[in-house]
This record gives sequence, structure tokens and C-alpha cells, in this order.
Amino acid sequence: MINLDLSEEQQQIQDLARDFAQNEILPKAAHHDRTGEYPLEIIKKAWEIGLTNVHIPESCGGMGFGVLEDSIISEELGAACTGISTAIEANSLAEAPIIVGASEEQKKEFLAPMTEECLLASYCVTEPGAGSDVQGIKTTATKVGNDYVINGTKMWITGAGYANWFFVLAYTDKEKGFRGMTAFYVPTNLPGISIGKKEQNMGQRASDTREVVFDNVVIPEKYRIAGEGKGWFLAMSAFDHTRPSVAAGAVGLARSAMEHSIRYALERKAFGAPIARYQAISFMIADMAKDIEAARLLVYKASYEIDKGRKNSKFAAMAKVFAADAAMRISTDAVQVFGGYGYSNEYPVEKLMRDAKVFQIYEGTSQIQRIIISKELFSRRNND
Amino acid sequence: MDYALNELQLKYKNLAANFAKEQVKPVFAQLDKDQNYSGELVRNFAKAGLYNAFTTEKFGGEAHSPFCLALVFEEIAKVCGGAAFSFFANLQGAIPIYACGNDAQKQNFIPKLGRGEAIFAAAVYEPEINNTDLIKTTFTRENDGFVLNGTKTFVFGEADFYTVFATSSEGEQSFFVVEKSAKGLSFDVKDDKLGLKTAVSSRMKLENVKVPFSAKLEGKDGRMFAKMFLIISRLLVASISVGVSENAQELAIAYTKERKQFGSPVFEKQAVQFMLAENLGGMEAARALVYSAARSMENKIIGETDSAIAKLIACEVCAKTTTDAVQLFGGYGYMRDFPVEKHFRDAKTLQVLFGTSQFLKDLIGKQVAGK
Ligand SMILES: Cc1cc2nc3c(=O)[nH]c(=O)nc-3n(C[C@H](O)[C@H](O)[C@H](O)COP(=O)(O)OP(=O)(O)OC[C@H]3O[C@@H](n4cnc5c(N)ncnc54)[C@H](O)[C@@H]3O)c2cc1C
Repeated sequence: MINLDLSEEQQQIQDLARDFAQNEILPKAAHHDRTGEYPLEIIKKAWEIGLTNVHIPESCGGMGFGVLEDSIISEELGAACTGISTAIEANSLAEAPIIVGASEEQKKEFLAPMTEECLLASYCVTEPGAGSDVQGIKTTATKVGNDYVINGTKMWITGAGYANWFFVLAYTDKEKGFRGMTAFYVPTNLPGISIGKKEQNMGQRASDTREVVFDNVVIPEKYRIAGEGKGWFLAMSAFDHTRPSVAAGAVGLARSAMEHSIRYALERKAFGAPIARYQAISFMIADMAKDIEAARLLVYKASYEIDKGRKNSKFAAMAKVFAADAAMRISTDAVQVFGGYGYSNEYPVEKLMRDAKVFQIYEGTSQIQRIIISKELFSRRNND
Repeated sequence: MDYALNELQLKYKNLAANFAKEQVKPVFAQLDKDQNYSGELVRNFAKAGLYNAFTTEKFGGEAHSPFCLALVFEEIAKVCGGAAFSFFANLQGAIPIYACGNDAQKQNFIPKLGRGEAIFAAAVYEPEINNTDLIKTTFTRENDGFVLNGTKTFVFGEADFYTVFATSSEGEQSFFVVEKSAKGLSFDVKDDKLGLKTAVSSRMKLENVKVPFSAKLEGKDGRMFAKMFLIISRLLVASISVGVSENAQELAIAYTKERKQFGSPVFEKQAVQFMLAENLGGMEAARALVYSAARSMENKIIGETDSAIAKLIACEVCAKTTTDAVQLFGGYGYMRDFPVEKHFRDAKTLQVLFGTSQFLKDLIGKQVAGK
């Protein structure tokens, strides 16, 4: 049997997130897009009412929510502004590998403070020369006595300018390929860390994207997460947890583009009738609705699988690529619905289109998701 | 592909390519970033002789050749769509004078365009109106001239003369040349556009603007011409789109050949090559449509459908090519200091000007239906 109803608790979470998104985020979205200002106040408020760090386990003082709850929240926040919601959710990506692979003691040390105070974290994996090809990173962590010394440059790190700690992926043994990659918890106030200037993004401009340089940064061994050589596995499994909610953010954005389109199509007249009466417009909006429903179902499926304890990589990739491509198409069409006026920044759909593009790029490009899906399809076939 | 360009066409194409390289390339990124319009650049474009493909010798030019103009704007757009648009906007302001003015009016203004002595801008569109038949800006005859009232949108550039399209209470439609210093003329909102940022556009208000009788372009009926004006505009916007597509495509090819992931250039992946192949095909198809429509126009065929199809396809191809270029640049594509981000924004703006895709399909569809 199949049941697609949200539980009562999930509905409450959805209501809470929706209220917050519409009242606290939406009115400020345009301002943060224009100025690129980091939405620190909004993040603090979201933290206070419990909309961040939601998957930190109860044993660390967190709420222990599943990926589905996270996705429900993400869609609502994304419907208001994905620049701000990306800033709010940066924590999740940095925390995910710790939840997956750190010891109980480490979890308490690294995650519990996040629930006691509004602290921020970033996920530092990408480098100037290595994006899709994560194994191409050059950052190294060299064991010296009981410490590790980290050297390297990370690129386009969301929230880096405000983070209290980083999740960092580095090579402890380059010879071993991806089995030589190790993950670290790195407080940002250590000597040797320098944070670059804020990048000027096309969209999601509030999310604070920066370069981070590690120059002989010394960290104690206890900041290593899981064993040496486990880093690749941790960094990738984090995506199984976060891709569904990133996809949900794209669904929220698409939903918002559709709502704007419907409202405008009913209001705007051409040749004596609201443009909603013309099939050129109404079919386009019908397509938006069907793609949003399909994307959301994929998000729920990918979340459901992992919450049930099953491997969801393929579904997470499907949800991510489908929702990202749909959000791009839908927001582009919304600009068309707004016609001659859609291209002015006075109208919100233009921002949605700029924001949407990065969903096809970060957390694995749309091409990379297809690689993940196809690899799994072909390898399954061999095992059947 | 070989388009068998003749000597004149090659001359303008090369002239424009040189101008783009020498004068546009060094400044366009900053202009776009600051949303600055450069009158100086527009005047230099004129001084380089690039409007001479618009006017015959009688008015100081060389030939009236829509094809040469299409080539010129395409070349400029290969460097910057916004700059191409600002040069086009100047021309667009002069088009009604050339088409509807009497000899004296033409002699008065057109040579100034070619020599870069004055900048023009068309003031045709109005808020909430996409059909020129329905415009609300009025002109009324008084003893010593005409009085204009109304609001215009998408007035591009900072001009010395505005060609304002207006309607009388009897339904007569005409263009008027209004000096920028005219009393009652004001600009209230500078559009914060998605793209084409250096081709600034504003909303213009006319409050009891008095103009002399001689400001009215009397040579030809304005209503008929408004249609022609849009046909030419669509063609030239299509040519700009082809230039922007090529620019984005070239950047994407060069970047993917250089960018290595998984041990080899990403260009070597089939998914990447297919994307580029498809876009190359689309771009050449768009170019062929633009050239074909321009050739017809050169032969005095008023191809409303031809120019609508050229704009529809060229803009759709451009939107796709530029979006894919951003994708192929990965994270770099999303950053404002890399040019593909700008092409993506320019493309979307070109697509909605002078007829969105839906509007054009409607127009083409009506032709198909024989209405
Ligand atoms: C706003 C923003 C925020 C970000 N935040 C973070 C963050 O917080 N932490 C972090 O670690 N990173 C972050 N990133 C980086 C992001 O994850 C990378 O940009 C992304 O993984 C793509 O890598 P790349 O940009 O190097 O593109 P490349 O890997 O160089 O790819 C270039 C193009 O080639 C394609 N391609 C690559 N390989 C293949 C292949 N095998 N087959 C077919 N096509 C291929 C890609 O899909 C893409 O279109 C962020 C990026 C942006 C733009």
C-alpha cells in the first residue's frame, strides 16, 4: 500500500516553515538579492524556532528529524527565497557527514553546540581545479605527531564568511586515490585560515560564496572524522541526505514561479481577455504544475528511501536533476509569461530564473546526477 | 558556413568586427557592471562609419542596406549584446525619421546620425500596451504647434532627440521628433533590467510637451510605418541574438577544451559535445534565417513573418546556447566576473523585447491561418 499523506507532525512542521518563509523571508528577499547581504538575522530567527539543524540526533540535543521533514521545510523556505534558504541550510550539508560517520563523542562535541547557540558551518570540498571530479582535489592533510597540518584552497564555499567551523575533505595519502581521502572538522578561527572576498553570484546572491585558503592549519587528531581514508565515503554519503532537500528547494522555487505566473496571467489582459485564456499561456502553466508535482514526488521518494534506512543515491540523484531542470525551465517560462515586463527587475520572476540556474550546478551538476543514475542502472543489471 | 557575402557586406562586417575588438572589448564589462550607458561609445561607433549602411549618399551615407546592418550588429554582439543594443537603439530612433520624414526633416537629422553628432531614441512602447494601434500618448494641434501627453516605456539610451509615437483624438498616428531639452519631458524610472545593462532604458513622461509643426514627420503615414518599425527592429534584435549566441558558444568551446575533470578535458565527454553540436546547429539555422529575412528586406519585401520567425528562432537558440554555456562553465559560469553569466542575462532580455516568443508565435500563427 502507498500513502502520500503527511503525518500530523509533518503538517505542523510544514505550517511552521511556511509561516516563517512567507512572513520573515519573502518580504526581505528582494533586498538580499539586490545587496547580496548575508541574512544573519533571518538565520537567527530560523534557528530560534527550530527550522535549522533539524537532523541533528536527539542524543546531541537536536530534533532528529528525517530527510523527509528536512525536505518539507526546504520546499517552504525555497518558495520564499532560495538565496536565503541556501544560506540557512548550509549547516545541513556540513553536518551530514558528521552525523553519518563521526563517533558519539565527536557528534556531541561538534553538533550539540549547534543546538545551544546559533552557530554556522560550511562544507569545503570543491577546489579551483576540482568540481565534478572530487577526487581531483589537491588539499592535503599531513600527519605530524598527534596533529594534522592542512594545506590547500577551497572554492565557492557557501556561508564561508560566517562559518564557525568547516567540514574539510583532504588527502592524507594521495597514492591511495579516493581511499586516501580523509574528512576533518576544522574550527574557522585557527591560524592559517584565510577567507576570500565574497563572490558576485548571478543568483542566490545572499548565500555568501567564498574561497577558503588553508595555509599550514594545524588541527588535533580528534578532529578527524572516522578513520583515514573514509573521507570520500563520508563526503559523498552526505549528498544522499542533502540532495533530496536541495531538490525540495528547487521545487519551492518552481512553485513560487508558477504562483506568480498564475496571478499575472489572470490579471494581465491582451486583446480584451486575461492571458490565462490563451493556450500559449495556460498550457505552459499546466506544464509547470505537472513538473512540480512530479519533482515533489521524487523528492518524497528519495527522502522516504533513506529514512527507511535504504540506500537512496539513485533516487536522490533523480530528484536533484529532475527538480533542478524543472525549476530552470519553469522560472524561464515564468519570465516569458510576464512577457515584456518579465525582464525588468521590478518583477520577481527574473530573480527566480537567476536563482534557479545554480540548482543545476551545485551539489553535483545535472550531468553528474545522470552519471550517478546511469552507473547504478548498469551495475544493477550485472548483479541481476 | 559560407553565406556568399558581397564586397559591401564584407566591408561592413569587417569594419564592425574591428570596432568591436578595438573599442567595445576594453570597456564593455565595466559598463555592464555599472549599468552605464556610454554616449561616447555610441558616437564613436557612428564616427567609425557604421551607420553608413543605413543611409544613402544623399544623406551622407553609403547605402541603405538592412543586410549590412544585420551583419554589423551581429559582429558587435559577438563582443557585447548590450553595446550592440545601444548602437541599435540610436538607429532605431532615426528609423522613423528616415522612413516618415520629408526631405527637409531627413536632411536635418539623418546626417547627424551618421556623423555621430546626435543620438536618437525611439519612444514607441507604453506601459501595459503591446499593440501600437492602441497607444495612448496623444498629440493635439494648437496655434503654434503640437502638444504631446503620455508615458513611454523602454526608451533606450540617453538621446538628444526622441522620436515619439502619438495618436490624435481623431485616431491619426504620427511620429514627432522631440528634443531632450523640451519642457515637460521627464524620465522617472531607469529600468533595472536583467540584461543589456549598458543599453539603459527608462520610462519617459510627456506632460504638455510643446513642439513646433516641423517636429511632426509628415512624409509617410505613421500607423503603417509603426508596423515596419517593428519588423526591422525584430530583424536586428535577431541579428544581435545570433552574435550573442556565437560569443557564448565560442567561450564554451574554448573553456571545455581547457577544463580538465576526471583526467581529461570535459569537452571530450559525449554529453558535452552533443550540447555544443546542437547549439552550433541552432545558431547556424538562426543565422541563415536572419540573413534570408535581411536579403528579402533589402529587396523591398516587407517580410513580417520572415522577421518574426527569424527573431523567434534566433532568440530561442540564444537563450539555450547561453544557458548551456553557463552550465558548461560550472561554478565559474555562475559568477559575475565571467562573461557567460552576462550573455545569459542579455539573451533573456533580447527574447522579450519587440515581441516575446508567444507574441511572435501568435503573429506567425495568424499568417499560417491566413488571417
Ligand atoms: C553558488 C555556489 C555555491 C557552492 N557551494 C559549495 C559549497 O558550499 N561547498 C562546496 O564544496 N562546493 C560548492 N560549490 C561548488 C559546486 O559544487 C561545483 O561548482 C560543482 O560541483 C561543479 O564543479 P565545477 O564548477 O568545477 O564544474 P566542472 O566540474 O568543471 O564542470 C564543467 C562542466 O562540465 C560538465 N562535466 C564535468 N564532468 C563531466 C562528465 N564526466 N560528463 C559530462 N559532463 C561533465 C559539468 O556538468 C559542467 O557542465 C558551489 C558552487 C556554486 C556556484
